[in-house]
Amino acid sequence: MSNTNPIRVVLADDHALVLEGLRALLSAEPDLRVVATATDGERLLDAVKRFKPDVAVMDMQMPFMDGLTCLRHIRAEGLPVRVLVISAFGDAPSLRAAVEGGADGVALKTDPPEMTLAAIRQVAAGQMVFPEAARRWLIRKPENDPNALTEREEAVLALIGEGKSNAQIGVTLNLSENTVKFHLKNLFAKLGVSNRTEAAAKFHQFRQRYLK
Amino acid sequence: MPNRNLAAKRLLAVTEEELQRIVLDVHDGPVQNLFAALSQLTLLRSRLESKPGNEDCAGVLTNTVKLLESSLVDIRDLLGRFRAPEFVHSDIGEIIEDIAIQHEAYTSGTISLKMDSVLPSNVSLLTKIALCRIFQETLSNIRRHAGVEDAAVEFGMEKENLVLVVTDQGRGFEPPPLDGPQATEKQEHIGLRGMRERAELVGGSLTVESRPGFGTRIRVELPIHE
Repeated sequence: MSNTNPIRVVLADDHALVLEGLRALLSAEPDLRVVATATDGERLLDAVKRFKPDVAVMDMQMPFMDGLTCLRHIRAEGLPVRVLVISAFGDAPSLRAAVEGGADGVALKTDPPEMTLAAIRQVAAGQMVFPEAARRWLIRKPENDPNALTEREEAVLALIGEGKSNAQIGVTLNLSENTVKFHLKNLFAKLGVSNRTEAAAKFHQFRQRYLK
Repeated sequence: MPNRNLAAKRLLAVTEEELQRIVLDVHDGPVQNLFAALSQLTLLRSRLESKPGNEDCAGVLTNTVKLLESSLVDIRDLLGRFRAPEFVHSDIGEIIEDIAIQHEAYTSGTISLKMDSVLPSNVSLLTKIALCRIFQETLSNIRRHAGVEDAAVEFGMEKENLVLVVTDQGRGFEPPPLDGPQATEKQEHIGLRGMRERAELVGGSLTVESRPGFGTRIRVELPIHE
């Protein structure tokens, strides 16, 4: 990472001490550069537009515009930034809201701060960073069997069946490319396939069955 | 004694409110400050480590960091045990699943959850709260006392009642008598008594099966309406 350009980061948290602590911690990492900080969602949105960072790190609860609303704006406007949500609560509604809002990852404030640094690098590299075990729940409809597809996954599968690329699927469904990859990974696991060609074949099998 | 029962239920509701206030205070204060302090100390440590001759100081700092990190883990457990789900609008299956998700997010453990596909939608609020609190405490006990993080959970209906069974393969213990004249007064058993009392307050029951070296099985049975 040291030979390439540093990862440009915007930090947003309404707790001044947290913001200062993270800023100081990041400043000592040669591969990370803090280009702006914000204490509310509105300023964060401005900073993302103005500084075009690689990663936005945001607290969920912030005044004026909370993290999730800001995240929705970022995704709706198609701003090309990876988003890492930091939260003191790892409860299911918070995690679910982050996933559905299009976050690339969640880091917990009750974990050591080095884990937040690691998560910034991982989302910058295009990975999804969620508590591993929690993932399989977040995409599951509680009332159905574990292999039932969510509406999102069905939509993604239909587009795979049409031969669309991840980028095209992202545009059509208003998702980041990472989120599309996230859905694909789960989709493949549920269908028991290992690539998009096999997934497309499954889709056409399903369709045949429904058309008859 | 209907009046006494009513008073106990009112107390339960007030306790819930106060609990949520405490959870929010802990979230807004200590968690943020500890995280901020740890960020600064982590920075300081890496600066010290990069210069030779500072090994003593770096060692002291490492111990300090460990203390703060373990405080954060304790707080995380506390938040995990007492953070309230959306009781009113969530159905009982969602609440159970959400607690399992949270346990997995906070630990490296895995919950194997088997749940009936059809669950009643008219579970009373107090029953939801009681079941949720008992489940949270059970998972927390597994982490703190059984020495494991994995658990198997079964949840569904038996006749007219909700039944939750939580099994772990941890270190197990000799279950103490929880009521009668021999009832345990030991500090480490107060939690178990509290769980049983919660179950009984809403007209249900709780049983503990355990043996040293053979894990623990907690079974809670609650009527849909208290």
